[in-house]
Amino acid sequence: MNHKSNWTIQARQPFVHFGIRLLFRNRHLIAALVVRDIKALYRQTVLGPIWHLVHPLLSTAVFSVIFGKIIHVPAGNVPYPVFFLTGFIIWNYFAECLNRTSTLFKDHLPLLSGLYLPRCIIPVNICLSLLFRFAIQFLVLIIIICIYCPPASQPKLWQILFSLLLLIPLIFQALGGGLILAAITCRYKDLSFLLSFTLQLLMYITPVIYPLSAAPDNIRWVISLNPVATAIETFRNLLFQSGTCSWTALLQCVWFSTVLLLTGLILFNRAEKDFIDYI
Amino acid sequence: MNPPIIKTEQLCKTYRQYNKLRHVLFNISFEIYSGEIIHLTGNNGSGKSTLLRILSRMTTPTSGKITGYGKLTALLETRTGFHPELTGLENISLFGAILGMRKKEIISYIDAIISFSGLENDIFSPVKRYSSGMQARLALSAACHYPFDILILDELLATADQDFELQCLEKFKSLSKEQNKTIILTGHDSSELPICNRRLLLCNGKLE
Repeated sequence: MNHKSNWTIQARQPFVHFGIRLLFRNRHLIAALVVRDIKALYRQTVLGPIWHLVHPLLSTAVFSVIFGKIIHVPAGNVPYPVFFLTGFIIWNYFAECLNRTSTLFKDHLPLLSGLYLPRCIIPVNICLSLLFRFAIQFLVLIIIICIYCPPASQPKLWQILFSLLLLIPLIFQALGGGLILAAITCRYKDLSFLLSFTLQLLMYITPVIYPLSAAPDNIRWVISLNPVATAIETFRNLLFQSGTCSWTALLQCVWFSTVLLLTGLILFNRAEKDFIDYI
Repeated sequence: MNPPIIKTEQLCKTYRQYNKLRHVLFNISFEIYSGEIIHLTGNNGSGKSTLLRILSRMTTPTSGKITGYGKLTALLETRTGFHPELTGLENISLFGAILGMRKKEIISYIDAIISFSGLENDIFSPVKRYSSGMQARLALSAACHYPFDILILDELLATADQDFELQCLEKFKSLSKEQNKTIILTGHDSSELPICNRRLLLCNGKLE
């Protein structure tokens, strides 16, 4: 009987416990859960994944009319719809990740209260399932950029690949912020009210509908403090050479997102062990 | 004699309710040996579910310690992680993944699970169309066929019909006799389960 693993359950658990190894050991489960999410989403739909394109394209149409045609927002060297779509897809991924992570205890209650699975799997599962959606949108975006951009400023393969690296700090921020909110909202539900409209407001202080360069100097520094802004600006810079890109801002963004993620993980670890008593 | 498969020492669980402390579990110490079928009983609110939640790592004890070894599978609610949109088959394979199994291993158990549950005709329809009894059948079948050393079942047997309950109890008996598995079941005070070796009676958070 000695080959079987021993375990203990105690009141006190390690304060910092990131579980990278745990995630690796459970990679098959993570894959199964992601497949489950994707499968379940398209049950009883006719169009399936095509719906992921309807939302950004429809928003692009509306925002392009308002901000491209009525209020002439400068979009650099690409047509406004392309400019907007780029920012919107990234913003949407970020916002959705943050939102779903922050409500993960509530959303996944049936799964979490019935049988035990390591809780840190759930946020990873959330951002991976959403990545599927992002991939579809990104693919369409690249095609649109290639159609609309003048050949000189079309993105090269390394630029596209490099722009995808920006997803890492973006995911860190979304998970970090989401985990902090999840840890707090499982006891105090107030913050979930706040989040629902703050995310919308937050979009306006992020250069999604306008380029950072269009902001006056005295406001620009406030906006550039927002790490999502750096990600979006750099993203645009890589894909069609408009928008600002600086190493200091990028470094700041990576640094900030790592700190946010670590804070989120610590708080989440403290919350997850007995959230079921409070929710 | 073998060391106990589960050993709890001085287990306490306290909730803070309206600034008052409520002791749900108080100094619970017991030992369970492998091959035993334990019937955990007690009135509503006596702390059965809390004890099982602690055992299955859903929540942590306020103080005390549990040591054990082997793989523990716990089913605490009827809709255990079943996704309503997915079919019964997809759900039981997901269940296997949650228990930590690979795709290949899962496939080798699927047939036995389906035939034990008696849901051959409904296995391809989504779980949201299942009655709660059918869901319990599926969950119970999956739980007792995937490999485990300790199985914890709370309230599930009560949801299934009498025939299936007997079928499960028969299965549990053979699992404990032949493969030395440990099973913990819950029930109310009055019900007697003849297959159980031992009864643990909880009364207001204390073991009697």
